[in-house]
Amino acid sequence: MSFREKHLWVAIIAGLAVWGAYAWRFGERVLAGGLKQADFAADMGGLFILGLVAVVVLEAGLTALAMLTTSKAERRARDEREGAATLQASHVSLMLLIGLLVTVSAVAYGVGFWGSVRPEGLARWMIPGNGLVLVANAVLGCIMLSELARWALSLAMLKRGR
Amino acid sequence: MGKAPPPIKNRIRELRFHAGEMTQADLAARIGMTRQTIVAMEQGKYSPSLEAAFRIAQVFGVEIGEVFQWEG
Repeated sequence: MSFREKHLWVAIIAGLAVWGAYAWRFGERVLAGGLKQADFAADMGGLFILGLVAVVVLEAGLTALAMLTTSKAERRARDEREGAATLQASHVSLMLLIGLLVTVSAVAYGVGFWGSVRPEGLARWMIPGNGLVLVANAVLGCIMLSELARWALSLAMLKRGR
Repeated sequence: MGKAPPPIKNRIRELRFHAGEMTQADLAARIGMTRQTIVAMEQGKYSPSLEAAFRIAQVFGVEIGEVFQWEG
């Protein structure tokens, strides 16, 4: 396995472990009625910062391990096949990101419209500040999904030989 | 459905053998690529760029046409 492939696995493992746990906790809080609680933004914000630190530490540790198990020449190689696979995967990932962000925007517009017509209806679900936390997490989710797609697709193309 | 392999054959494996059993890692290091890409080329799954093809021919001291043949 080349260094690039190892690094892609590192990104997938670290991303899934950290942001998967974060998303799980986020879902639990939302389902438990967290959107109506005043401490929701602060709690999730703290967890988000913790997630950022954890993903950096985990990625750094696993990348160091990948470096130790790969020769210097292999690490320094600027491989055209890997470059092409990454570029193709990035294109697909960008299209996916655009689609997801447009969807999130449409949903946010819809909820905003509903909230402006029936403010008491929206207030039953969430306090206004938590709506922004919800949008922030939806954007984060879009980024994470498109990145996962990029890493997985790059790996798949490299495994296929192209 | 997967893409068909490129209609370009190569003699890299044979040329490595004649170059004193040069390893794939050795060849990869000499042209600045990964061993996995040499493997993909030898299996006919990947066709290198023109520049990489010239580099490979240079390593073996032969013309590019002696390494790669168009079979389309």
